[in-house]
Amino acid sequence: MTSTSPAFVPNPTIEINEVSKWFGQKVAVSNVSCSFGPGITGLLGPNGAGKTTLLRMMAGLSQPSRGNLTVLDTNPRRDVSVFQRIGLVPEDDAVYGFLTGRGFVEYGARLAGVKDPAAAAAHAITAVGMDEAAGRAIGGYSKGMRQRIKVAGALVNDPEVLFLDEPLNGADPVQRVRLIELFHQLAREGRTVVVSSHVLEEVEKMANRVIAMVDGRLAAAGDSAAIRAAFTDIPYRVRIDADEPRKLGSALLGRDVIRSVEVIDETLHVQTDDLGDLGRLLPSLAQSLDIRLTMVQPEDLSLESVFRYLVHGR
Amino acid sequence: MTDAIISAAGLNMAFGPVQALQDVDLQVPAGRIGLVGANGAGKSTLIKILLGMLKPSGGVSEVFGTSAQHHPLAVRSRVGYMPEGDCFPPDQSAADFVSYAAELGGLPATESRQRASEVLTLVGLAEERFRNLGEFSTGMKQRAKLAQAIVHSPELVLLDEPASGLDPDGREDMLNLINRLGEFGMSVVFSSHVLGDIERTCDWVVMLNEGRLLRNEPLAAIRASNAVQVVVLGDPNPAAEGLRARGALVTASDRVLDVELSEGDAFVMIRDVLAETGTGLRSMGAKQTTLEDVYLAEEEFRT
Amino acid sequence: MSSEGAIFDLDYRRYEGERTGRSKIRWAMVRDGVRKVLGLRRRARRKVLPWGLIILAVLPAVAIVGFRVFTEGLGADELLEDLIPGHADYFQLTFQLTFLFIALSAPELLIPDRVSNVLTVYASRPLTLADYLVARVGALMLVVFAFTLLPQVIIYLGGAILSGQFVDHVTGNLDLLWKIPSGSVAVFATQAGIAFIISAFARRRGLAAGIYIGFTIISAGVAVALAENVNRWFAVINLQAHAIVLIGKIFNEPEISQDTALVEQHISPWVSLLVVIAIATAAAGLLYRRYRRLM
Repeated sequence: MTSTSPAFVPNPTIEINEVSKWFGQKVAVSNVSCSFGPGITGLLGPNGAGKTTLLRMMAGLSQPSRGNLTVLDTNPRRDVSVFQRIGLVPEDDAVYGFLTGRGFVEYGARLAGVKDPAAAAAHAITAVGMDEAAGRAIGGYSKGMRQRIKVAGALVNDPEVLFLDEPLNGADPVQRVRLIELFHQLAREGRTVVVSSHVLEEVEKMANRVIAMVDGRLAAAGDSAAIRAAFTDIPYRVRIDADEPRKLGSALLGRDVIRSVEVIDETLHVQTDDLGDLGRLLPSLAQSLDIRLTMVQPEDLSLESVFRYLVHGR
Repeated sequence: MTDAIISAAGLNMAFGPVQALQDVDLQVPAGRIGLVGANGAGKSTLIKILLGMLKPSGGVSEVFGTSAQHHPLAVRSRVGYMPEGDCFPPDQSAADFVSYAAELGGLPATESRQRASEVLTLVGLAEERFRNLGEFSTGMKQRAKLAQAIVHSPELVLLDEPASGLDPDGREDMLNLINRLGEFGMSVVFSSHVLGDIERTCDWVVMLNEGRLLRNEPLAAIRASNAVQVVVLGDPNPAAEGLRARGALVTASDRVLDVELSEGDAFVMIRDVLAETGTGLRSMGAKQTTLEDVYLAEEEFRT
Repeated sequence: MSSEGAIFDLDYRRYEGERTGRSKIRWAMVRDGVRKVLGLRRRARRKVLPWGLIILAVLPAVAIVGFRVFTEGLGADELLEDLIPGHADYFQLTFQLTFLFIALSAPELLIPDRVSNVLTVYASRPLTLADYLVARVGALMLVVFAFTLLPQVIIYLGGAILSGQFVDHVTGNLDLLWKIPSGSVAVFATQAGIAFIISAFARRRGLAAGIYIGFTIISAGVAVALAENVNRWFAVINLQAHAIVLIGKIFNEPEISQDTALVEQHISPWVSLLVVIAIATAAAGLLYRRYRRLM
């Protein structure tokens, strides 16, 4: 199904068509239609929104109650061979403590029917930066290390589609940057990477495109800034610090593009319908009034703010 | 530092061949303290040593001037702890258990019941407080864990990854609660690997990296930098050139310009250059070094 | 009258009052332990077994003594004279009940805290490991003492009433004041020691109780078999029998223990005393070491 809606991509690898999933009376996923393609897509939603259920269906771990879902043009529940082209990094610690890192990854390689398990494992281990620790037992790893070895395990069969559930959990700042870089590299290579996470500031760094679910339904799709812009009834909020805030505030109030101006603790809080117009207006206005601007900060552009608007509507 | 609430000197902790903490010296004032580092960096180890749960291989540590190694009970009567993992009996109600936790902290029985109720309301579990802890969701459990940590009115509360497992709303609520703890007269040690959370709530930061102390200073000091960061709309080149022409040092990355001036007012110069080149402004402000920057710089330094 | 208004801050209140001492904290743990053992503040299902056993242990004494006192002077005195069991007899009668009670309660006291990691909460409070363990064991001891002592007291009072000379009976039987509690201690030390050791390591309550009960039954059989065929000292393995022997010795009624392997093999009651002390000490030591590593 093609459509110009941002919920769909032109070259999809995963297609979800009017999929619903219920458990008895509880409807976990309700009539969701969207698609995923090469690149990194973030999958967001509050707990209980159906995000995990959708992810499980995409990974072939569960069957839709209605609708159809295909991964690489295959129904993952019917044709298990598609698993060789998929990688999954689950959130829970489903690893065996007694195995060494290398042993675990090689085991995964053999399970996936990879031709040269040892080489594939070595390659994956290097990709996640675990060469040094690969010889040690996983039981002795820190959380961040376990996370990275799980990623290696999912990469070992060179998957076209990769599902990551909270992949940065426990990683230290340096490892985080490296992993994000790795995911970007995988995306550049044309793989479809779906990242599910609650830590929105991390999702922001990884994915340009997001799919957000609320109460089992598709709440938003597309680029974060575009989603924000789609909330036309919610004006943008901007904080401004200046040496004469009230003088600037009065001047701003005279402009149509400004909806409201508040002064809180001598900081201006401005609401505007058009960030671009405000941004083009400010420097010259400040200059003409001889006002020194020290801070201009949009407050609700972040993915977190967008998410809040999605869930709470305001 | 005369009013340090936490101090350590030459703290070492080894688990077999693994050196969890190495030569840690620090003094930390009252307030909201962030404890940052990856898992395995030594955060939990440090917290356990401060509580007297672990005996260090070497060195001393004190909380409120009392050594946890020699007087653990005295320390623990003034400190609360919110552990990272599960710690609840499944077949007891929240009110019951938190009340018991208060008694264990030294509060009289009648007072404990009352305070348990108040604290559970404070963390947002007013309606659920008579339900069994086994039925609680992750978010509810985190709140209940916070409740048991503060119910006995400690002066310092140690939080180990308090937002772990919470969805964005829950995380927001938890961070707000943590912010308010300071208003209640409590100091907070907020241990986390999510740097953004720390940057939002803490005023002092202790940064650990592989068991070593990387930084121990006010967050403001870490963030301070000489540059002003400007994000422009459209083509950044005219503005960048204009600033350079006036003697500023400009580092440009896409539409982000970091502007440094050795003399003069960077803010005014930026305003004027933007106005003159007709360049729109997305954001502007003193560049704040992020905690992530510090770690990355450290990594670069070592390699 | 002024027209002032005020809003009161319903936020967190600091507690500025006095802190209770360690003894109050220990007592809070004991109370918690007693609630766990008796199933208080839990579902009704949890109360059935403990209270059932307690009633079974206490009711006979109440019923018999009550009946006997009630029928006093109705002319059947001769017939009913020996109806009330002696103190040592009653210990033996309820022996299996206390065994079962302890087998079910010791796991309840130790295992959930460990498995659900509630120990972390204890570890962060101003109490020591010893405080915790003593409180747990003490809670069980309190309950077991209560329901072993109660029927003994009833029998004692019954005897006093029936003798017609209350005061003389009391002054004539003052030794019972130390004998009865000693009996309870002996029973508790033998039965609880092993139960607690098993509960310190097992991860499931049912399993711990099962292992304890199984171990006891099997070791009793093994003790008899080995004592008869290999060496008389193997009788020592039958741990429960030591308590019976000690009860017999305390109350000077060795008959109650005469069919145990220990007596048959002529093992001195002093050995029994040593074994009971050894069990108690070993239990204390093992528990402390095990928990030291966890907390």
